[in-house]
Amino acid sequence: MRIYLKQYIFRIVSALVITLCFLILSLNFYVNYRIRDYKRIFSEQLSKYFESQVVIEKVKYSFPNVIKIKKISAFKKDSLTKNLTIPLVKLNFSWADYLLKKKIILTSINLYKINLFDARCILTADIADFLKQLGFFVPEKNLKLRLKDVRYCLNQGKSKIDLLGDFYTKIESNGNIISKGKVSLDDSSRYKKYPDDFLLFSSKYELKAFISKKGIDITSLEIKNNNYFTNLWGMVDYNNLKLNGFFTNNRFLKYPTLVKQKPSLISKIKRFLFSKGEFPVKYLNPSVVKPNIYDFSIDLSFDKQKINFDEIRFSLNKIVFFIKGYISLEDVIKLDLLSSAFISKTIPNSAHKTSKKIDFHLLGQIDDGFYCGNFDIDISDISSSKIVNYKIKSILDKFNLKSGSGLVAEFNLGKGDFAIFIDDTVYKFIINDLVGWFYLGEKDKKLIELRANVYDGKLKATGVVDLGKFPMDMHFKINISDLSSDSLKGISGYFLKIKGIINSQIDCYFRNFTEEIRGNFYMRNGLLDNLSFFVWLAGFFNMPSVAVLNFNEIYGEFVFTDKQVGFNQLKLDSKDLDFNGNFMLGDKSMVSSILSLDFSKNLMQSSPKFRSLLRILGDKATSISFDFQLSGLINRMNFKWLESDFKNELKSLLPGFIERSIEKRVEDIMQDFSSN
Amino acid sequence: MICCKKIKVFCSFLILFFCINSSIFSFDNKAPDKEIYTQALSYVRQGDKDFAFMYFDMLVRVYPNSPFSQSALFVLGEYYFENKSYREARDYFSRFLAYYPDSPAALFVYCYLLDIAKRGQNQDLIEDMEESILTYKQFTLLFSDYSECKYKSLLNNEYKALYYIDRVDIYINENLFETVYF
Repeated sequence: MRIYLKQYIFRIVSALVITLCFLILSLNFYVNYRIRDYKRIFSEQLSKYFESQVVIEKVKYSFPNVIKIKKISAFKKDSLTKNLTIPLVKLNFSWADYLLKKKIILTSINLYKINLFDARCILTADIADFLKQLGFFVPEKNLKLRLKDVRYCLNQGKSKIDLLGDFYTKIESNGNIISKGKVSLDDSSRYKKYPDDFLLFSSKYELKAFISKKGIDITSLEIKNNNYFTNLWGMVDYNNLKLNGFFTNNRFLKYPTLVKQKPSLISKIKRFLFSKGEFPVKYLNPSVVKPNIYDFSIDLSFDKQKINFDEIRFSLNKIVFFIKGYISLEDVIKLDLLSSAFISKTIPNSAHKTSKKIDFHLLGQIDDGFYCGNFDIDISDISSSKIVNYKIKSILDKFNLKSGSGLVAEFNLGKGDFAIFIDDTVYKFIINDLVGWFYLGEKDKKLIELRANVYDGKLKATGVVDLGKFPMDMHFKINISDLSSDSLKGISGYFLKIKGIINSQIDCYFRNFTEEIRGNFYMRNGLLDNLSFFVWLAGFFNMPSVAVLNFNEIYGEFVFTDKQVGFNQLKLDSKDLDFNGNFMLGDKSMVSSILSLDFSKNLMQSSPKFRSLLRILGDKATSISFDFQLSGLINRMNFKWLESDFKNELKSLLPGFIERSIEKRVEDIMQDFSSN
Repeated sequence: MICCKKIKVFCSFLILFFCINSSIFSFDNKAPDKEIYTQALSYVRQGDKDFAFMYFDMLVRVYPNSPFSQSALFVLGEYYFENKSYREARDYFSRFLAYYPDSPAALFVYCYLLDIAKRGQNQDLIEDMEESILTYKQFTLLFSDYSECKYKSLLNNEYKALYYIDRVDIYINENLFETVYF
């Protein structure tokens, strides 16, 4: 009996299992038959959406309620290069809804191991249409959308920087959207650790939004990591994105600076008697060294394959920025972006402020990673007494930026045609074959190296950018060698009159919105060809040979700062004439200068004016040295002939009234000379 | 009777004499600014600066276009400065510069204003005045060490500026008042 019962149950179970298997197989067969066209439909729809070929290997139903789409590949337009691959997509649907309503209602969509090689394939897709579809797509049931293990290769240079992402979104039937996720750097493959700057790429986000008839209302979009916190809110409609918000640094919230205040007598007594209680401390304001963005406002509109920046405004550490323009995301990326920054700074010990407006304009195109086009910078410096305009207009040919080996960004420029406008004066120069490296390894201080050809000369530069400060400090050491002076005629017409080969070392400092340039130049075996000062000298002393002067060596040290411009040391060494001294132009165009001229006896004998002087002095004079000092306004210079043996000797020989007469004549000449 | 007539004639002459004199006096009244100026100077000579100040002040207020107002205005600034009323001194010196920028006293007005600016720590005014002093004159020193500017005020203060190539020394009554460097 028992054996019979056992056999009976076994048979029933077996029959049930077989029936179930049969049902499942039948169901599988039936559903797979019903969805046999889905592979083609999905491929067509996705190809239409991406505007390029999308291939799907298989669409398959799996019991009980899963449709699996395997191996989706989106290709570049007219190319076999892949933009996107998704090995597996799982679509879950509700049988109950299918049986009752006769339609497939999805309850969850899961995408696994997405590889995104070119983000443009998503950005250039018909976003307006996509959003339009999404706008009407308020699911009848709650829908969960999960994107797991998304990998995006940010750069395809020598060292790849891969971003990994996990995204989870829930769209409720009432239109509410909740989305969470994270983006992180994949540091498992090549480098153990990325520098801190890259931490911006490792963030978590949380989105709260709801779908309305107008589009998607974003109630809150928080993006944060240990260092940064961003909160945005706004609206996305069919072809427009409007967001407001802020971006702030978490560090100073975590580590506020404390300063111990001087304790009061009572607190001292309390501490002495009860040995407890801390002295009061004062919390300082948050540091503004790290970047913080407030009053962020963005207004974007999307055309097909084009993002229009209708208006972006934000305040970065009290500097107001404004950006507008467009980026066209076609095969050849075209862009026209205008950015303006407004900086206001109080002058120490003064009621006045200086204001700077800096405009950046980028107009060009990026083809195969190379940028060709214009890059212009326009600086208006408005202080209490003056408005100074600087402009840098550049035409860049084949500029590109790529990652080099290690944590190095490499940039190249085929040709750069630069014109610097300072008020009405233009300085032009051309740089060829520029190669630069930006070393990202150090925490705050970054190293930049440059090599380039400047006409027939070479340029080498090394720079340090300190990103740990705001505004960031920069220091560049530039070395120019073997450069023909006449090739610099675009910078100044003087270079046509000073002929020779130039070697120069220049230090450029940019600190706290002020610039400082110091350096030296050195020329050997050249020619001074009708340089105005020497032409004047030749005429005044009747020495025509000085107008065109062969020199052995010219050396100068120059300084350009907010406070002063000029030469600290000038040295001219020639056969018959030596020239030494300095000439500085200070604040409010005030001159400070000491110069020395040495005339050889041969040169003096060629001058009728000096011949009579030599007769007075006798044969013992082998050369005459004139040391003089200049001061006052550049166009009203004061002149003093400094003490020397020659001057004392001459003074002892000349009667007082002749001295005064000569002094008057020189005064007239100085007035003429300096006013011209 | 004859005596009475003589007395009458004498009286008539006396009246005529007074009339003529009074007419001369009234002619003097037609240039009252000079009269006030003279009166002020007489108080200066007596060493009574307060009364001199009152007359100079009257001159500047009542006859601002008088040729004597220039030196009088300088005196008012001087007087207030000596009495440490720097705000009033600054006002009068500023008026002086506005009306008489080409006066030989203008250089020394800059010096006074520089001193006042330093007391008030007004950096912008300090820089402006230093620039005005330094650029006041262009000079050439071939055989001498300095170029000189002089002015003597109505209060008998002697002003002197020595322009060296690298600085300007300003003296009041041979006492060094200010030094400004190029």
